[in-house]
Amino acid sequence: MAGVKYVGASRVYAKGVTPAVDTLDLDIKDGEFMVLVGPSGSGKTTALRMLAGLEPLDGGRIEIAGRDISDVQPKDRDIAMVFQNYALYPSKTVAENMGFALKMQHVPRDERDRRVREAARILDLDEGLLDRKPKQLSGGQRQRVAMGRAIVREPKVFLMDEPLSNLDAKLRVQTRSQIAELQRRLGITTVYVTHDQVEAMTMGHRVAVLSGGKLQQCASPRELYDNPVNQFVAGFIGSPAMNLLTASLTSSGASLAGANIPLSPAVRAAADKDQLTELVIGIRPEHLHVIGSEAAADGGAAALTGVQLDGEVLLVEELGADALLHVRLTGDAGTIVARTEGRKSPAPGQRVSFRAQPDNIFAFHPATGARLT
Amino acid sequence: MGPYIEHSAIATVGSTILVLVLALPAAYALSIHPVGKWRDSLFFFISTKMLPIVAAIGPLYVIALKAHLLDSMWLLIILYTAMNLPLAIWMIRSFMLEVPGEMLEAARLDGAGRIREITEVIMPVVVPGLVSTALICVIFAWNELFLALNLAVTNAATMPMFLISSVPQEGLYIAHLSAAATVASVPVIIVGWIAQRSLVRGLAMGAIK
Repeated sequence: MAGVKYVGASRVYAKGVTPAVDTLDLDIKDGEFMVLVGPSGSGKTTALRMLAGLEPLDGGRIEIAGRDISDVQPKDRDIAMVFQNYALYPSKTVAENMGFALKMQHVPRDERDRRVREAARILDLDEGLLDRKPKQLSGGQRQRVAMGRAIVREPKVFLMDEPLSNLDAKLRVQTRSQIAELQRRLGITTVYVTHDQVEAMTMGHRVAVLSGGKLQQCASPRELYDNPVNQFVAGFIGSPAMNLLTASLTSSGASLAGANIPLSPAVRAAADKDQLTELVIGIRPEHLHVIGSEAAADGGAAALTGVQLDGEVLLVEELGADALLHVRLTGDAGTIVARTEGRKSPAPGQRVSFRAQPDNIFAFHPATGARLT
Repeated sequence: MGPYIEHSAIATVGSTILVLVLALPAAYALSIHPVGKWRDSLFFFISTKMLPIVAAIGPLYVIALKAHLLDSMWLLIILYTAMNLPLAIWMIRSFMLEVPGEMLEAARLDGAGRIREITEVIMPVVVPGLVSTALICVIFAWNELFLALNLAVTNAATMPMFLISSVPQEGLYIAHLSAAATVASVPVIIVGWIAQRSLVRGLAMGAIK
């Protein structure tokens, strides 16, 4: 077991093009489950491949257990990788697939068999499957064989490149928890790449959000949700995404759809420092609470405790327990999404009012996207 | 007829084995780990097929004469190898491109060197492609007439030449010629039948995931 450290690691595919990974600094602790998340083209897979030795570094270095492995051959890095398409050898049986790396290391056959069986037991893979070829297995079984191939090597670091993306939704949720549990049990440092922020939030001890080859924020899932450092992280983490709307600055706060949003002195000072006339306001869908139509009509006692926003329902997406309301704000200030209780959701066309607590309202710089605090 | 079959068999089998032995590393170097200027190399290989064989027969005759290979089995093996090699390289290269990149990367991470990568990972995937390439080489070499007729007319005469010699000057004897043609076709049909399963898999490679 060992920690992993990216120190100013960069990868540039061509001159004059934005680097795929731009001076990445990331410290992954021993035994930690680190998730790299971001949209496609964010550099998360490239960062993982650099750690695997499948991509050369154009700058900086990568360390495993304090040792610089930037120029070390992939096979000598003491890592094991699970690929998106599993990359199982079609002509080999499950046992041969899992034992191939050990065979390359000239591990005696008895020891190989023992470790393959042990890995199969850990993964609940039926021993009868060990003699089958990959094409005779289901998607879920193939995924577990790919995991098994990594486990038998007893590596210092596990690398996983979107290993769940080929599974159906139900199996994905199930396997997600299995992988997290397995990692906890084995305690092996794991770097996991995904584009799915739900996967990232549920599995990782810490999550590194990447965009355009740059690390945006690396923190625990809770911290990312509660304290995003910029507009990108705020919009990327959370499902449905945070509502981000441009609001003009007034003497008493920010004006959005006729409502006045009070700003904290710190936000006010930051806005004044950059002489901003407007800023981006962020409110999560679950922080918008529908208030009754009567309350909305007279200003409402409930509305007094927070910021009130009014609008017209465009669309209702029923999710069962919840419903998502797509609402056009008064004065064409933009469209927002709100999460409400499923059974009591208003109908499309109906006018609604929402209340949001000032504590749950984020403010971002309109040009840089940085959070104003 | 015996010597004709023997000559054809030796030239066909010999050249096909040689083609596969040479084409395999060449295709690997043009697909899995491409060498510098691989596009130019690829074009060079196929460009050798652009010259009509008639245009090359004069120089070939002179070279064969000076190398003391005229009218020998070795000459046919070398010529048939040269004739089929470009096509085989192109075919095997396209089969190798079908090998998933992630699988090769997994092999690298597993610690497989170049040789292990080829024997344990690439070969099992491309075997159907190799079989279909070999079969096409066999068919082309077995049916080749022009080079054999001009450069190997007595000591290394092949089956197509037996067919020509089956047309006597007195007139055309259809029955005799048909029998000879049937015998000439049988080996190719047998090889094709044996290889059919791999052939279909090889030719359909890449058609579906």
